[in-house]
Amino acid sequence: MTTSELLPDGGRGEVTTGFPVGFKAPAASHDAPAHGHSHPASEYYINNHLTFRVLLHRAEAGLPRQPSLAAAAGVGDASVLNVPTPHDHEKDEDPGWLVVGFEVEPCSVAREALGGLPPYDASSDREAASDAPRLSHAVRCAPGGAHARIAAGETLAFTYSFRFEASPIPWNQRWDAYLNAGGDSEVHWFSIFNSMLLVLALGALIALILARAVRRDLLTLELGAGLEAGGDANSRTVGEDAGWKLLRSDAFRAPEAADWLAVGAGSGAQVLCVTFATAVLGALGFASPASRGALLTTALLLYPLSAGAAGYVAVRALAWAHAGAGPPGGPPGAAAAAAVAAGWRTAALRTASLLPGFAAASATAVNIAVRFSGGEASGAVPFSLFSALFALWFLVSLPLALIGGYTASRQPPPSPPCRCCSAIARHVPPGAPSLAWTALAGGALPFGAAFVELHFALGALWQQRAYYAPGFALLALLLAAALAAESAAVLTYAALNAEEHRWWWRAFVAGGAPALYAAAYVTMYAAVGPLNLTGFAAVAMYSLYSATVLAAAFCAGGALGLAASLALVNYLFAQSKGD
Amino acid sequence: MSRRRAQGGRALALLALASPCARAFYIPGAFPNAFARNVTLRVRVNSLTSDEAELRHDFYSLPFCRPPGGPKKVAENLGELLAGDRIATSAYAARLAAPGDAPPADDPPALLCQMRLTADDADELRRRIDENYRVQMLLDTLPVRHAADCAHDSASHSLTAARLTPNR
Repeated sequence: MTTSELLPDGGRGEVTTGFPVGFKAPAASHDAPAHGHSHPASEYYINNHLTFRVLLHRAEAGLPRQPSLAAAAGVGDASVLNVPTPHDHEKDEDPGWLVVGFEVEPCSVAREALGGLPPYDASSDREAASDAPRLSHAVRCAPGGAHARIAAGETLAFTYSFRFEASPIPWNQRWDAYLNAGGDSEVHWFSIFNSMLLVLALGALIALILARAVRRDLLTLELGAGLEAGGDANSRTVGEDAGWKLLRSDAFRAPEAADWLAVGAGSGAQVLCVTFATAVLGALGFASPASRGALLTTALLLYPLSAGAAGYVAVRALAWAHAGAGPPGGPPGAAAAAAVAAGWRTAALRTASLLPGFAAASATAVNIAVRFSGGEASGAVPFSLFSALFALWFLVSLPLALIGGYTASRQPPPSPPCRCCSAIARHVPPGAPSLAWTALAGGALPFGAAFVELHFALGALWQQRAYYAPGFALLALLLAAALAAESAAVLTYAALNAEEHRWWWRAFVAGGAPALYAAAYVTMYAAVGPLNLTGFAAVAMYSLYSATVLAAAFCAGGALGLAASLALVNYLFAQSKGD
Repeated sequence: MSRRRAQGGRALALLALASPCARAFYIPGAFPNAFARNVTLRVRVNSLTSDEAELRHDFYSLPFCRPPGGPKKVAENLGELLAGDRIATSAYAARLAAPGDAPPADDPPALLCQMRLTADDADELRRRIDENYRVQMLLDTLPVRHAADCAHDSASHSLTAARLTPNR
């Protein structure tokens, strides 16, 4: 029997690893109740007998073999590092065997059914002997047989046997059974492809509409077709009533809380760097299922290293936010230079601390929740790991962010196409879409591009389902990023047309809105979806870790949205500078 | 001048590789391990997993057999540690028997260890079974799969006595 034969044929069977510790079953009649206690309705039984089935495939001649390594290192450990030595091949002709499958049939067998057990010796309680003594006869693992009961004072015997079987599975396909998400994986890929094409088409359509609208606006400007100021302010028809042309002196007005916007943009840039670098490495094949934790380790190490980019982007965003201030005709960029000189250190430090601080707070809260619900568990972050990550942050992130910020502060201040004339902001007529609508509209398309990948990622993170489609993940991320930027730009254009000149935060929220959709999806996944969380600690872990990742995603999307909108606004006013 | 630098760098690299102290190695799992007859295959254990109570528990937090000399932790990378993997050695081991010369089907199994459960042990076990915890084992970086999972929908977690299948 081979592993591939055991795959479910079209059923919903999700591939998961491991076997249950034990089970609960109605108490069998021959299980005598202990010490006159009332007969319990159900009993717990432990899987104490394991029948391992190891699938072997003949190795090709020429592979470095274990015995010589074992002889050299003095150990017979099966998973020791494979050091190829050149003189292996000349030894005897048997090329050896490769492990291509590992299965187990666990069983609960009562002590009475195990023949030939030596008497229980308290001095070797739960200590395995170096030579495993054999029982007197084979163990029958029948459903109706007596099972090993779990009760205080019960004596348990753990037994096992190995079966070695030949298998036609080649070594490079041995992980296929683990990665195959049931018999209908082809349907999954087809539906992913389908949704991506749809989303791509919609995105292209929207880009086309925006391009036409902008071109029409600029054409109207050139032909000298003026626009009555009191025109149809309620109309939001794109291109017909280009309200943005009225905003020459307000479009680059500094936003409220500009320094926090800069921090958000910088954090987002850092998250984008890490995400795309990790996705590319994953797509290139560096994240094989055999190298556990490789992807997460890569991401964790890349994060501090990209703090330089974070600091740089944060300070540049600060410069841009203040670029339009000051009277026209005055020294260009004086206000921006002043703001940057005063605030680059704060911006860089805040950027380096925002998301890592959030992550640290979440991890601490999860640790507290775990301790509180009565368990020392290895799922929560142990202190040594915490300190290592903190050291990484302190020694790498902080200095790099400051260096990035300093580099940006030395750049000449940006020169926007138009400046703010008056100290009083122009009155914004009612009719602009609210921030909530902006978020709703901005998040839909990018989320649509990536939600299937999100589903698989959640399954991999929380349900030990193997997920190995890094190419698709990269594609989905690229598409989502492009659409987030595009949606934000379109919504900024719509807001400007409605004479809403406070577009900075709006653009950030529009770009980050897919994370809000993802938050709803993640909540639904746990509340009514396949995930069934029990216990306060599990819920705390799920919500806090998800919140951290979603905050990072929000910043990333926001940074993209802000960048795209800034480019659009620059373009619009630069092109219309003629008058 | 840059050409000289490149040549110098190349020479240095060659020198480093030719040095007898230099040893290259493959990342575990990236290159096939070929095992000969009678080599001892040792199973490693990972922390317990549960899809419901997401916390991972150390394998040896439950009363399972310890290998002689005690379990040894296996070095892990940052990602594994953060994900909750705690890989350690276990007492389960066997000498590789080539499929051709397999022992007869009624070969008696081996005894790992015996133990007496304390009240705490029993409580801990019952709690883990209620939360549907699964034991994770590894052989040559390959995780163990439950043979019954392949035929059953894993959505229903309680394995009643009737679902145990006899040895084939």
